[in-house]
Amino acid sequence: MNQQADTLTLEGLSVELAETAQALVKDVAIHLRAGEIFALVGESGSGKSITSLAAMRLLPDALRVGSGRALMGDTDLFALPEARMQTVRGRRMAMIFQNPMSALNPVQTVFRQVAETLCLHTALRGAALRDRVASLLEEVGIPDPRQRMGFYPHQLSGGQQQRIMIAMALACEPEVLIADEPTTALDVTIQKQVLELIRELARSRRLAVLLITHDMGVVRQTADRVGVMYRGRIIEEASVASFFDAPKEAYSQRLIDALPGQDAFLPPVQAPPLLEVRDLKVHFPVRGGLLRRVQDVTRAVDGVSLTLARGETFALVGESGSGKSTLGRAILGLEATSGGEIHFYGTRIDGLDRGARQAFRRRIQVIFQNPYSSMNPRMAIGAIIAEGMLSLGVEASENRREARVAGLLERVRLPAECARRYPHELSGGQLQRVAIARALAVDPELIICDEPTSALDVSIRADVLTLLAELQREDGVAMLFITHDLSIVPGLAHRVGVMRSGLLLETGSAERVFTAPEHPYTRELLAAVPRVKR
Amino acid sequence: MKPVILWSDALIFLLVAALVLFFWRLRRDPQARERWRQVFASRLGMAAFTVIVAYVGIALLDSLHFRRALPPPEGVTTDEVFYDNQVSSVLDTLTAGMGERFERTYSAPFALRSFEKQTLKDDAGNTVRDFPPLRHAGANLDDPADKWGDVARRSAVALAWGLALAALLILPQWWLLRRSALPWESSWWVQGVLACLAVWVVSISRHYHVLGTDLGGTDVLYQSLKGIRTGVLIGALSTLVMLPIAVTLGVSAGYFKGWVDDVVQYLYTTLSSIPGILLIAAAVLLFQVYIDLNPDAFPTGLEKADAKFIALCFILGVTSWSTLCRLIRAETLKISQLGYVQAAHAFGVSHGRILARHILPNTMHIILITFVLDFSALVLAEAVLSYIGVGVDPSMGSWGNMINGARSELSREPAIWWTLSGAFLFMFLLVLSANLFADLVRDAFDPRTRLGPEAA
Repeated sequence: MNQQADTLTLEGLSVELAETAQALVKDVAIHLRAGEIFALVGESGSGKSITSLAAMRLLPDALRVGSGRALMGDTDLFALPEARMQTVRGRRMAMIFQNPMSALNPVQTVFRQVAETLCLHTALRGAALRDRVASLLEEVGIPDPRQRMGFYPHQLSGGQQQRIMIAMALACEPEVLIADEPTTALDVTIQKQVLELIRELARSRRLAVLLITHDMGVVRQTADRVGVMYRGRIIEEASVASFFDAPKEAYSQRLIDALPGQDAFLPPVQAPPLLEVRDLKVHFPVRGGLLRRVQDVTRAVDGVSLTLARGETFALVGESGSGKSTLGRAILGLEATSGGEIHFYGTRIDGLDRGARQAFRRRIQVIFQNPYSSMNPRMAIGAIIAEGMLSLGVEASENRREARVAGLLERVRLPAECARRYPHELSGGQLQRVAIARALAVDPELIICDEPTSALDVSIRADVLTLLAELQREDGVAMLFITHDLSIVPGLAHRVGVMRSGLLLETGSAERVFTAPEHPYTRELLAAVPRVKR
Repeated sequence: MKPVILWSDALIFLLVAALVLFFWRLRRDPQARERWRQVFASRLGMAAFTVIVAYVGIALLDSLHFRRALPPPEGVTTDEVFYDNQVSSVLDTLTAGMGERFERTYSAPFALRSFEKQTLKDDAGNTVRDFPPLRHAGANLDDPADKWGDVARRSAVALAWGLALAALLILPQWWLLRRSALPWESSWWVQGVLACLAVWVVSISRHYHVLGTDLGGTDVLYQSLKGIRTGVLIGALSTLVMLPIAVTLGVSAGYFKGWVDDVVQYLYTTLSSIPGILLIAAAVLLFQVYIDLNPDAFPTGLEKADAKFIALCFILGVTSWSTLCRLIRAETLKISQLGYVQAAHAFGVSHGRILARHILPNTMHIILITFVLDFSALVLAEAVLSYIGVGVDPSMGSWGNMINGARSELSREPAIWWTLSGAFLFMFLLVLSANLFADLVRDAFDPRTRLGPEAA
């Protein structure tokens, strides 16, 4: 490729805290070229979002640009007065955000929102404006755009909302598009479509795209060049092909390795069944009208049967809304069942009252998705871990409990002094270890892991998964692993079940499902998983 | 001297003790300590807090009641001690009888003569209509023309004493807190100004009526001071009555859902669809009838007034819990969906324990913010209620009663402005400090106003 002019150049950019002048982003240089997708990769807190906000001059009040230039042609964006900068934003540079639901105004129609930028920056009005909006929506792949223009955001799916966001960003034909984790909130199949759309638009419109992501698979599939950000600096920059072939930095290698391999499968486990679910149904009543009568039911889980052997990991895979979490909660007894049976060691445990349930609480435990919300912010870590022991009477004496807490912390590789600290003092990965320790505290035989790693950064995710696998080997505990992320399933689960709309479409050994999927939906899911190896 | 403990006295001391205990226990929670530090790290917060403490201090002094022993009637020798039917408080003693120097009727601030003409006999024995000299104000003066000179001299002396008192107050604090990172200077400035003002007021009002007198000839400044206890108590007691109702109902509605939630929601929807003032007026009048029918239960006038006052606090509290209840219910609904409550369920933790350990502590910020915000609203509510005639007993000094009286005073020509001004000044200072303080507390405790790590 011959040396072409950059569309947007960041030079020596550093961003610091306004109060203490502590630098969060140091000496970052990025060259964005027309028609090219530059991926800025890093874990949370690495400064990648701050970099993009600084380029747009949209930093929060607590931060300020310390030094550096942002050049678009010959103009330095940092030197422009705010009024001029406003014409640059939207007109020459546009941004799309992670969560379309919160970035779209819920009380305005799609048309009003897309037209807003157009009205600000162009002279289009009336019918011409409607035509323009319709053609934009068509370009981003909204079917039947004339009709959907009158929709409100909640009437559209998550993928369509993100498409609307992209249409809004493209409305004034900007030269630069900044996409901050555009697909993190989306399901894999939709993520694939949205990424393809961004790629296509970059080619057809000669857009310079700055794609911010933490997902190496997304980088591999979408980007042309990649910059790895670590602690506020870009430590490595390369073309995608050479980066994945031979990363120069050890940290980059770690990021790539953190994506689990897709070809090593665990052998099936031969053991007596521990948990049996037979034709389980969980229906939620939909109430409405006068006196809030039940008018309809939402079939969250609609006749699912599965068995889980001792010491086995069963991965329950599905996209959001498929009912996989509800199934887990029903097994835990946190959700009332509407039909079917749940047996634990041959004893029926669904429909038990609070007292009778107590005996099984100890044997079935849970780890939740969001480590930040699954710890009471007002309790010390030690008390959090000890809570279950206390209420289930595992260790009666306080000294023994404390010793056990210390032992558990050691097992999940946290320093013992953590017991006296509070949740907000720990990182997400550390908190998830605490959650594991909390579950292990009562010696369970089955742990239901509800998306335990999806809130974590990739490198930490790998550590937590390794820890879980290790604990399973040592204790022989069975796991029901609920996830939307197919890429972590090989190497973790013995068997897999694919769920959609409350139904279990396919079950089988991990190897069988991954190598020879039977159901078309399973095939679609597998195809959408971003892979590092091509 | 015979101490008298009114119900409201007992309650205010209990309340202050509870608050002190609450703050003491907070020291153990590092998170709460950090937030309180944030509140007090601002000069405004420190100053506002000092003013509030001063008000509470005056209210406490005014809550130490006693009946003076009377000297036996002349010519009678008996061992029995008779007590004054009038109940006094420590504040009355400290203000050196400010409330006992009655005039005949209205007089302007610092006036030497009454505001209204009266038929008098002059030295020659002729009947004339003129402004009579006041009984107490300026009684020490030989020449009325020297009034302002006298005031200035007394002010200078008072200022000197005031500074001395301020120094006495501040120096030990300075010694103890000089290494503290908090802006105690702001508090000390306020304390100094308040100390000087207090000494000045007490010494000047021995010979003048600083804020004039009202229709009955009572010193307006004295009445405003008496209004402090009423204001502070009504704010604090009503909130105290309201809190348990709102917290219990709100938390159970949000946690147990189902029919419990329905019942609570119907309760507060019904309550908030009845005009509040109507409900309060009806309840107060009912209680008034009860007091009138049972005179034996309330021996002194003050006790009657006190009973009525507590009833008012109670009614205000019972009718104003719906907002807080709604907030707590919403927060509880949110929290009970969070992982840590779910995890607690999975551990089989009992309902009571989940409520006490997981839910209540995490709704604390709402309770605290509402407590501080509602305080000033309730002080204002008292003024409104007294204005329409269903508030505290007219014999009990309160800002509402003073404002109520000002209705007819302001329509006169020339207008009598000082009663209203006195009440307004004192109420304004308290409500302003409470509101400023409430704002800071909300900023520090409301999770939505704080920048989390994800905001950076």
